[in-house]
Order: sequence, then C-alpha cells, then structure tokens
Amino acid sequence: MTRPETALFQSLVLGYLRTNRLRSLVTLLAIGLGVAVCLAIDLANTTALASFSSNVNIVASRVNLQILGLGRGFDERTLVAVQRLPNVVQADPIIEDSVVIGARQGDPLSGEILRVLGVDLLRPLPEGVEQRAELPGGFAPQGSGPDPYGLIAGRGAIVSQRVVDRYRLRVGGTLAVLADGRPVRLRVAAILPRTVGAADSSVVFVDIVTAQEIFGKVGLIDRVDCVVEPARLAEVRAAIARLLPPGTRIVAPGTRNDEVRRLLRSFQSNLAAISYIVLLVGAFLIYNTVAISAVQRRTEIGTLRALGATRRQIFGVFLLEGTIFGVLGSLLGLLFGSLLARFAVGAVARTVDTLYVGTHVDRIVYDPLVMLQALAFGTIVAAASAAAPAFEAAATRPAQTMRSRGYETRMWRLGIGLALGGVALLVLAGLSALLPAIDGLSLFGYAAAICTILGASFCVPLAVIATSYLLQRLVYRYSSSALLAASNFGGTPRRNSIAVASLAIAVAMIVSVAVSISSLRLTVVGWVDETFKADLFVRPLGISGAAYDARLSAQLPARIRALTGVAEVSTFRGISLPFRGSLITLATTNLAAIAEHNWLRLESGADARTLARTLPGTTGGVVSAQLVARSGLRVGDALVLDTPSGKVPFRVAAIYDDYSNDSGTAIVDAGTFARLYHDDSVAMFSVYAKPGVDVLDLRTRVIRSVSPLRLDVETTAELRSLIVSIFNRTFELTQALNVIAITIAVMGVVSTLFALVLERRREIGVMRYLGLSIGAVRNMVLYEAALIGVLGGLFGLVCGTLLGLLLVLVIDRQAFGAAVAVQVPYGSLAGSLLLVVVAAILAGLYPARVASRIRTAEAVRTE
Amino acid sequence: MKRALAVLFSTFALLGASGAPAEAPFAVVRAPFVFHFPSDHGAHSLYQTEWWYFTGHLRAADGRRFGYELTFFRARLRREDADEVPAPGVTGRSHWRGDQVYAAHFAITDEAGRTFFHTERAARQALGLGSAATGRLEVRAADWSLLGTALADSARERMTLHAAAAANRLDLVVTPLKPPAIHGKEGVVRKGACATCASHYYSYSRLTTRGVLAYGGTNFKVDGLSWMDHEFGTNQLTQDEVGWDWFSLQLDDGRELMLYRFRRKDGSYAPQALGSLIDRAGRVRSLGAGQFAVTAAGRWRSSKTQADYPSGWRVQVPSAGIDVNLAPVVADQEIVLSTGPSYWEGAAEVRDAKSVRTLGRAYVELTGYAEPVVI
Repeated sequence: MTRPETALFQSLVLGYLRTNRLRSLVTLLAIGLGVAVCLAIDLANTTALASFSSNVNIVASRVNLQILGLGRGFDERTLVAVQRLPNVVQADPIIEDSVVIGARQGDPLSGEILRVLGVDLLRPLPEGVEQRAELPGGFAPQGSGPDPYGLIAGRGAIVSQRVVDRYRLRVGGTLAVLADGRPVRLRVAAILPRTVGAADSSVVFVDIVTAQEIFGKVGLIDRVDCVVEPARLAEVRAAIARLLPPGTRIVAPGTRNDEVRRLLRSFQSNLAAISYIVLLVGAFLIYNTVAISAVQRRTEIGTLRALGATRRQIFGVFLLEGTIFGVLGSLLGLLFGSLLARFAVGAVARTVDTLYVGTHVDRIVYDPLVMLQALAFGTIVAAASAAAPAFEAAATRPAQTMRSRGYETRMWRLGIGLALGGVALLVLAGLSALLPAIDGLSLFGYAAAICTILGASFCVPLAVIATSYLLQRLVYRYSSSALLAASNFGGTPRRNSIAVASLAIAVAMIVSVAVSISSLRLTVVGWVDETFKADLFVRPLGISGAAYDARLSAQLPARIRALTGVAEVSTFRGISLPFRGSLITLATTNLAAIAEHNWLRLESGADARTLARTLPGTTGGVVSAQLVARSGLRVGDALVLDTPSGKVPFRVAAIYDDYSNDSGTAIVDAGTFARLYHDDSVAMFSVYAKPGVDVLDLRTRVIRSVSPLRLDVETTAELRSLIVSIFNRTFELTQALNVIAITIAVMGVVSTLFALVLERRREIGVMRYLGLSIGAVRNMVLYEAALIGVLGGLFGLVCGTLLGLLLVLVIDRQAFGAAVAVQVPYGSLAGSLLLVVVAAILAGLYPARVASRIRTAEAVRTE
Repeated sequence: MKRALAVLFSTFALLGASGAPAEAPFAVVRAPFVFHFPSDHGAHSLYQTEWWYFTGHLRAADGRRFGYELTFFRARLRREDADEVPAPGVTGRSHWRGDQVYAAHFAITDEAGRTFFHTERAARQALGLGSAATGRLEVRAADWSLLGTALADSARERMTLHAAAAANRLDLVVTPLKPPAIHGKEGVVRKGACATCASHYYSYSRLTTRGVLAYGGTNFKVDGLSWMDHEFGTNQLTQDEVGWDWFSLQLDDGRELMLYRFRRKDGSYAPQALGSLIDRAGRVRSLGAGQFAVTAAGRWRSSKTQADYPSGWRVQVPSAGIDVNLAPVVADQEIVLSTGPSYWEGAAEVRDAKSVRTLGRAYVELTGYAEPVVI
C-alpha cells in the first residue's frame, strides 16, 4: 500500500473500528462462527475417511498391492501361490472381522464393535520394510513380547490401551467378546502402545489361527497385503491376477479408500453444503458491516474524494477492511472450528459407522490443508462480501455524499431492479431443479439452492421499502414510535435489507431442514411400517450398524421355525460389493416368501407374486431405486457383479424403494446367493408368529432356544423405534448447525440496529428535545427490530419452504432415487417464526437502551 | 554348537524365563547318539531348535570372489495344552495351527567391492509355507529351499540351495568331498554345565560348489568350496552363557578345522569349548579346550547395533602344527535382524602367522555381542 492509502486506511478504517468496537467484535464473531462451522464439518469428513483408511493400511507401510475378496473371503492357498511368485517380497494374510464387547440384552446400542485383524503374528519383517510398530512382530523382541505359542494356540489378542481401560482388562486376563453372536474368550496377550499412530483404538490384533477359528473362516482369508519389487509392479500384478480365484481382485492399496470416499460423498457433501450456507449468513454480516461503515462515513468519503482521493483508493480501503475482518474472523474460526470439530467428528463418525462402513474415531485429524482451506475460504468470502459495498462507497460522487440522505432516494428504483433480478434467479433455480444428478451428486440441486437464496435475498430491499411505505400509512394514527420505526425501516433500506436477508437465510435454512427432515421421517416411518412387518427381528447381540456383516449359522432359522407358535422365518444377509468405483449392498432373503407379507415397496417391474414365483433359484433380482438412479439400470437389464463363481449378470426383475441408506442395494434369492458365493450364513432373520401367539413369550423362547448364542430379539415396535432414533441421531449435527446459523443472524440484527441508533444519534436527540419520551425512543428501536424479525422470518419461511421442497423433491429424491413424500411441519415453522421475532426484539434491547440514553443537550448541540 | 537366531528363536527367551515346565515338552540331547544317514539329514522336529547352515567361498569366472551364507532354522514352539483358552464357538481347526516355524538368513560378501548384503525370511508350517522333511533333506522357508539327493555311498548327499531377494540370488549345487564329520563325543557336543546344554552336530567340511550367484542384478557363474553344518538340540545354553564364537577353516593342504567356544556374561569362555580337526581322508580328531588357542587381534564396532565385536584372530593348534591369523575380508559382515539378536558371520582369509602366506579360507560366527542369544 502506498503512503496516502495507508493514511486513508488509518483515518477511515482504524479510527472507525475503534469507535465501533462492539460492532466490529460482532462481525468478527459472526465470520468466525461461519468459518468454524465449515472447518468443523470438513475436519469431521476428513477424519471419518482418515480413520477408515488407517484401518485399511494398517499392516505394512510399503504394501503396494492388495488382494481383496468378497463377502466371506477366499481360499487361503492363494497366499502360497502368490508368495511363490518371483519379485513378491512379502505376502501377508489378513482376516478382517468384528467382535462385540460389552453388549447387554435388550439394549441394541450398548455394545461396542471391535474390529479384529487376524494376521500372521509370527512373521518378522522383510528387508526394507519399515518397522511396523503397530504389529507385535515389531515390538516383540527379546523378553518383552507376548509368548508366540500363546498368541497362536492360546487365542492371544493385542488390544489398545483405551479398550483395556474401558473394559478393565489386564495382560494375561480374559477378553470376553461375541463373534457372530457366539461368546468367545480371547486372552489379552499385549497392549498396543498409545504412541502407535496408525491403528484406531477399536482394532484388536489376533493371530490368523484365532481369527479363522472364531469367525468360521477356516481355510479362508479376506485380504492379502503384498509388498512387491516396485520396479516390477505391473508384471507382478499381472502374474497375481492370473492365479487369483474368481471373485477376488488385485488392487492398489488406496482402492478401498476411494470406494468408501465415493460411498460417503453424497452424505458428506450434503453436510458441507449446509456448513457453507452458515458461512454465507456470516458473509452477509460482513457485507452489512462494510456497507454500514461506508454509509456512516459517507461525509468523510465525500470530503476525502473532494480532497483528491481516487475511487480506487477508497475502494481499496474498504475492501481491505472486509479482508481484515475476513482474516481475523477466519483465524477466530480456526480456533472455534477446532473446538466444534470435537462434536462434529463424533456425530459424523457415528453416522458413517451406523449407515456406511465400520469406523471408529480416536482423534481428530487436524489436516493442515483443511485448516488452510478454511482460512482462505473465509478470507475470500469476506473480501468478496466487502467488494460490493466498497465499490459503491468508491462510486459515490463528492457532491452526493455531502447531501445527508440523498443517497437513499434512488432506493425504490434500485429495489425494483434488484427484485427483478431476484425473480430471474428464482426462475433459474426452478430450471436447475429440473436437471438430473451428475454422477450421483445433485450439483444442479445445489446450484438451485444457491439461486433460491440469492434470488430471495434480492427481493428483500423492495419488500423493506414497500413494508415501510405501507406501514407508515397504516400506523401513523396509533403510535409515534411505530411510525418512526416504519419510516426509519424504509429510510435506511440497505442496512435493513441486509439484516433482513441474513436473518431470512438463517430462517430459511432452519425451515428447509425442518421440511426435509419431517418429510424424510414421514417417508422413512411409512416405509419402515411397510417393510418391517414381522413380529420379531433376530440378530446378533449388540449389532446396530448396517456396516456390520454378521454371520449366523444357516441352521438357526430352521431351529426357530420349529418352535411352537412360529408361522414363518425370513432370513436376511447383506454384503458390500465394489461397483463402478464405489460400494453397493448385495442383500439376500428368501424371495419365495415376499408375496405373502408383501414387505417390499415395489416401484416398477414385476409384482410381488410374480417375483416370488419366478425369482428363487435364478439370478434374477430386485434392485433399489437409488441403485437405479446411480447406475441407470432398468427393468430387464443385467447388473453384473463379481462372485466367487466369476462375473454373474443379475437380471433386474423389479425396482423397489429403500430408504435405509443411499448406497444402493440389490436383493437376490438366498439360495442363489449361497450357491454363487458359497456362503449360506444369515445376518438376521424375522419371525412371523401364528395368530394369537404371545409375542413376548415367543421372544423369550427364541432367546432360550439359541443358547449359548447371544442374540438380540426385538419386537416390531422396538425395531421401528430404534430405526427412528437412529434416523434422528443422523440429523443431530444438522440441527446444531441451524442453531449456529440463527445465532449469527441474530448477531446481524444487533449489529444493524446498533449502527442505526448510533447514526441517528443527532436525530434522536432532536426528537427527544421536541418531546419524544425515553420510552418512545426505546419502543421505536424495538419496533424496528420486530420489523426486521417479522420480515426476515416471513422471507425465511417462504425461501425455506422453497429450499425444503428443493431438498425433498430434488436432492433427497436424487439421493434415494425414490420419491420422498412432502410434509411441512407447520407447527414447528410457526414456532420458529415466533422464535425469530422474539430473538430479533431481544437483539434490539441493547441498541434500544443505548438509544434511550442519548442525551438531548449533547445531541442537539451541533444543530 | 553355534548359531544366531531369528525372531522366532529369540522368543525362547520367554520360555526360559518362565521356567521350563516339569515335563519337558521337547526331546533333549542324550549320549550316546548314533547318526544314521541319509535320514539324519532330515528334521528332528521334537527338538526345540535345529539348523542347516551353509557358508562358502565362491569365485566367479572373472576371478571376482564372494563369500556367502544361507541358513535355514526350524523352531518348535511350546507345546503346553494348559495354554489353550477353553472356548465355545470354535468353528474348526485352522490350518495355520502347528508348532513348527521356519526362518532363513541369506548373506553375500563381495570381497572386491567390500560390500555386504543380507536378508531374512520366515514362515510358519501352515500351507507348506515353511517345512522340513523328516528322514530326508528338504527344507523350505517361504520361497527359499534346501534340497538333498543321497549319493551312492549314502553318507554323502548332493544338495541344491536356492535363495533370492531383490537383485540378489543364489542357486548352488554342493557335493561333499568327505563324509559327514561328527563333532563331540558319542555324537554329543556339550555346551555348558547343565544337563541339556548340548547338541547333536555334524558337518560336511568340504563341499565342491558350483552354480549361479546374482549380485546387484549381475549374474555370475561361480564355483568354490562350501561348509555345511547341521545341528539340533533343546535348551542348549546355560543362563550364564550369552553366545558363542565359531570358526571353520578350510586349509589348502586338504584339512579343515572347526573351533567352537561358548562365551559367558563376564566375557570368559565356558570350559566346554571344543574343536574338530578333519584330515584329508575325512577322519575327525576331537580337540579339547586345552588343545587350541584363539586370540582376538582387533575390534570392530557396529554402527547399527553398537555391538563391539572382536575382529581378526590368531588361531593356534600346536598338536596339528597350525598357527595362523584370520583376517575378515570385509569388516562389516554383521547380520542385523529387525526383531532377533543380530550376529556377525563373515568370510576371512587364513594366513600363516609367520610367513603371512595364504593357507586357506575361513568363516567366523560371533553371537551374543549385540544381544544375548537364548536357545
């Protein structure tokens, strides 16, 4: 900056900030909160992915190829064949599975899932591979390590310090867990040092012997991690590919991460979108602050311009002001965001774990890139928000600025112009909403949301002017305070418009989320009622996550079916399969029974009766609407999937609606699955009781009949309420973001009113001098606050409903591929409108008090 | 008698520390022991530890000289049923169970380039990843192997060795020129004061060797002389013994000398030290502790393990007219193991102590200098 600009900056900005400390602070806090929210969500998303990938790449740092199986794993002899290939330095067998610890009967959320990695614990390191401190081979030299034979034959387990502390374990003691519902006793052989970075604390290492024996995987492995000569990578990869059995694949180590990243993309980008709307609310505040400061210093600007300051210099100074707010506010945001991330990470990880893939977060990954990005983004948004008011400040001609209120006279024309632009944007939003998702992401949906927000905001100034105009004609007879408030409201349309718009966006956000959640809830509850029709639902104790693949014996359903009072048993199982770079669920059930209870909500294709008759025994299947949305498959098409029997085309016989998650599901008959995947185990099953049978009594008999297996048996009502509570938990974070958005918007109201009061100091003094009471002055400010609140609330309500419809009818619809019924929660909308008006009035209290304290004599001295 | 061990073997430290169970689960060394060949070339899997050790001096067609080491270890893990955690929910018996584990070490010394390469392999018995046949010579650890074929006179065995890692590979055929030399008395080599502190040990002290050595990506056709040891036992060292020094000399006059002494914590040597002098015809003369002297001439300190090794020796066997100096061809021939006790195993030149004339070649093994060895 050149010297005159420095002087300008000092006189125009720093002096001003000093005298407007409170407002400056509020602005900083607002931008700080906005950046904090974005950062917290980004950190949560990054952390969820990082903790998943740490579990994938746990075993060796130089693994450059991975062999992955499907479902239940592949023949362990594959490892020998791979190991014997030239240029394979090392091939490590790995079994990936889970056990449940601490689960109590009747409390489906009581258990913790521990991820078990079965590895060859006796293997030393090959040359050149870095010390794997996280593995026993790496820390079990002379004397201190676990006894090798104890690890193999004694079911030794190596657990984290957290698990040891939480379950009061000790080395040499027993670790009692459930594996697929079977009670299993492991022995704590060693504790992973806290310093071990890679593994998350829910990981338990056991020897491959233990893993195979407790998970029913004798002869099978889930994964082989290979270290091959880097120079021969392509050649070795091809050689391995030639000897792999069908259904296994050889991939680069990052492949699974990428699949999970794609699986989570839609969920994570929705969260990120909401966080950016919060930042947008903060951006309005910056705009507001710079605009107000420009308006307040109009006289000084005019003088400076008259003295020779160039437009560019004035523009630069105000832009700099906004940028400084941006930098300082963003720095504050980094601090807040890091704290907020603790909450966000927990919430995101829980949702990912419940709905998508098993993961456990121990620590937040403070990715410097993410932090830097938030800092940059906050600063850019602030600078951009300051650009428009800075430009206008620079554009004002010296003569015009000398006229105190003349500037506002153009407002009617400008208001109408802006409103026309706003309407155009709303039309554009409507058009974008008609476009389909791109690669599974509702990019046009988001664009429509932005257009809606901007379009509605552009209509605000006209509404402010018009409201003021109308009110002045309506209320002048009743209250001088109200008249003054109405006139002030329209007299400073810019400031008030921005306060109204930012409040409106915050309200819109709340409203749209409320509309979306209530619509989704209605839809999900309806779907749950239709889908979960059986009397009892049986699954391994402590498993609530969809990501967990439990395997119960295929004999179990038969045993239950034999119980008195049982009419029928349906089995379910779902495995995760790679599909076009992401993951889908391949589910199985006895399709022959679907017609009877009609629990599939079929959308198109054959009807249930036909499906039940024709599908069993064939490779025909039913696919979920979201899979259709993702893949473009239609009834009659073939869905080609990897199986241990080679690639199999599954013919799409019908499409059904599924709201359990957005990853996409295909259902095939249990018999077909067992044949193709050599796996007849079941993950859960439902029991239909004969009429008149006491369901609770039947439940007790079911639990008893499977002993010593530990199963959770829930009634339909319990399962439905569990699903709804999981649903609600999923939206906890969104609700928290709403609260923050409204907080920022209310701060905007405080800031606006405070500025208005300060600016009208003289005016108020004169009015007091002319006989206006202290109470009337206070009321005037409060009325104005209420006006901001009501107008912001109404605008928010309208804009929010539009956004809500956009979410439900476009974005959710594209995510699920299936219709989501619209439900507008009128009660809670009315409640939030009331809340906003009250909040706005409360925000007016302090400015009102300041206004009422303005001393007449001092204020009029200049007049 | 000799040898350093890999991680698997080092874990026996634990077994020793926790006290041997009342009924020893392992076979122990007992005298007299009569070797039967070729069956005793195979594994003796009831003993705790067993190894087949090859060292040798190779010469490429262009005259370049290499030393090599290729060793296969077998260890039997503790067999104690009380260890098994009783557990319902067992779904079968994993093929990865089994109480035998295998390891192998492979090293090359490049005399001209003065470089040294070494690496290791390990494998469980599972799925044939590691194996040692009983009654015949066939040992495998991952992709490395040692295979024997009995020759007509049945005491001799032609053997093929294979090891490969990165740009280095060893493919050799070795043929004994003499029958197996059985060390110690009545087939038993005593290593310390305790009852089990002993092993059964024989050597092929002179094997013609030919084959291919790849070093740093370059293939060399090589021939030369190798030495093979086969030794097994259980709880072979006392608590007080930390390792051993072992020497194998192949003299140009057709004789070989093996010297073996066990070092205690305080640096002194146990009185059980022994040697074998093998004449041109293959007859073995046992040497007691008083019949030979080994004096260290210098020291070499490892920058990797900080171990302080003797380096260079004067070896005297007055009754055989031997008074020679051994000089390592490369100072650093340390086998650094990531998880077990590292050791030094290196090729050396044998020179007359007075005339400095080259009299032959030797291999020297020094264990327990980096960490105590427990076998």
